[in-house]
Amino acid sequence: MKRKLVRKCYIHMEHVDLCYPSLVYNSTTIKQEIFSKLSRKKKIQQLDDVIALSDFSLDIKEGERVGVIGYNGAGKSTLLKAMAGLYPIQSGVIDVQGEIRALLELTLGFDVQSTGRENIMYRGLMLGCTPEEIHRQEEEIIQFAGLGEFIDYPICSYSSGMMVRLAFAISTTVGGEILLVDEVLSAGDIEFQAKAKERMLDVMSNAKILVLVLHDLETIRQVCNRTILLNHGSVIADGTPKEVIHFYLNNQK
Amino acid sequence: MKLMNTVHYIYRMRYFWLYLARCDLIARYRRSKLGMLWIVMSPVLLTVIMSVVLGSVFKMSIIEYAPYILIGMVAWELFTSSLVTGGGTFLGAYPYIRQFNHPVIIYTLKSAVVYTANFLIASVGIIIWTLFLSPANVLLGLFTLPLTTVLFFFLSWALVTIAAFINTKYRDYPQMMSLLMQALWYVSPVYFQESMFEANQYLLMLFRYNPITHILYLLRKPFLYCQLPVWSDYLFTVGCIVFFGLIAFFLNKKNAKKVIFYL
Repeated sequence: MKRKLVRKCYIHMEHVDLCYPSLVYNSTTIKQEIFSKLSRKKKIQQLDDVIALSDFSLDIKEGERVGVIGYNGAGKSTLLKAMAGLYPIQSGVIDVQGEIRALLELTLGFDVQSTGRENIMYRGLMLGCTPEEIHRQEEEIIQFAGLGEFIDYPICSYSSGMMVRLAFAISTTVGGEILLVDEVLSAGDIEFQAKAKERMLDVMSNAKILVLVLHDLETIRQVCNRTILLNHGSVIADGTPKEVIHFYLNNQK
Repeated sequence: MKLMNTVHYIYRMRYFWLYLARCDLIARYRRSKLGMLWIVMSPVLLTVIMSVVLGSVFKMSIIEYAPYILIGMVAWELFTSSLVTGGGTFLGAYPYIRQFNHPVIIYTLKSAVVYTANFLIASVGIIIWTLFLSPANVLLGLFTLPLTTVLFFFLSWALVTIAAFINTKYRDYPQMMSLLMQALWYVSPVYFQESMFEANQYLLMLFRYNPITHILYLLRKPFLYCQLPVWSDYLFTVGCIVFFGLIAFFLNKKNAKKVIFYL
């Protein structure tokens, strides 16, 4: 009897160091670079690398819904982008098993001049689907996003909330095993946020991974079964949402 | 990502970049009455103007000179698009790059597909012109066009990749490259014929050893002179593809992961 090989999803991060290279902030024009080399002068006001994650280790297993909380600049968004493989790391190991679906920024990878319907195709193809697969799921996506006739309007006429509804509908409909969601969900209205919570729990019934960055501690409490608290690019608390949120609230800056 | 993995990944994502390229082509002419017909019409109309002006200055037959200019213009447009407009590829693709972990050369590939498709559509003007002027040449022209298009596509991909990496870091790149292309234009046989370089021995040498001369021969020899391009024409073209391809490869290897920080 043939047995289907089921691979386990996980995220493994070990001693990861990630920084935003200073050369970007110190970047100059061609002219400035040539002249600074010729005159051999030390450049004025050189900025240092910005350390976003420092000696960072974390393991997330299948079935975990991890809420990430912390102050602004703690490294929450960077952590998601590192997991998504967008940022290169300076040292350590990031090993991710499973297909990632990410909702990381408000622009959400949309082409703002194209319609919502066209963007369903864009995004679906971008996630590795074939046009036929997307056509099959198009109606379900439109229904969940609840945009009505706006689906045939260009994205530039959408509000932030509408963009989030569409992006979330696409990302959670076309499958994927690991869902990474940054703060963007808060742009949706109350009705949509309730639908989104339901969908996140539903997605998780297939025993995948959810990593959610959110300042709304109540949603973290309702959706997640594990929470980590970040500060200066390191984990300072890791446990159940109740424990970590309690620790967070009692150790304010 | 290893080279073979990247190739496989690009193939797996073919629907994505082909769809992006298609939308790019459509979007460019979305509110235009003549639409993509402009791709064919604009070099043809410009050729008429240029050949009347240059033909009267250099006292050359317009009938003979016009298709020479048209071919030069269509091919030159591909190279300038790749090197100047193509520089903005990563900047234009930033919503995708900041959201998805695809190899960034997928976006330069998309641009190269768009520019090559433009070139191919514009070639219809060359074919129609040849059909009226010397119909016997069309068959040979059509026979060599597929290989020429493939070679032009790879050249365009390499040039767009180089331009995109440089432009992402140095935002004054498009202005500098436009000037450079203008300078290159004066020493290349885009509009000028070999006879115009004969007065000066050095200029004539520059003409003969200029890779652009040979790259343009891939189109000019079959369409204008009913001749197959010779091996040296292909050698110069493939040499350029390998040269710029290697630069693009190393730039990609060194900078692909850093691009996101500059967007």
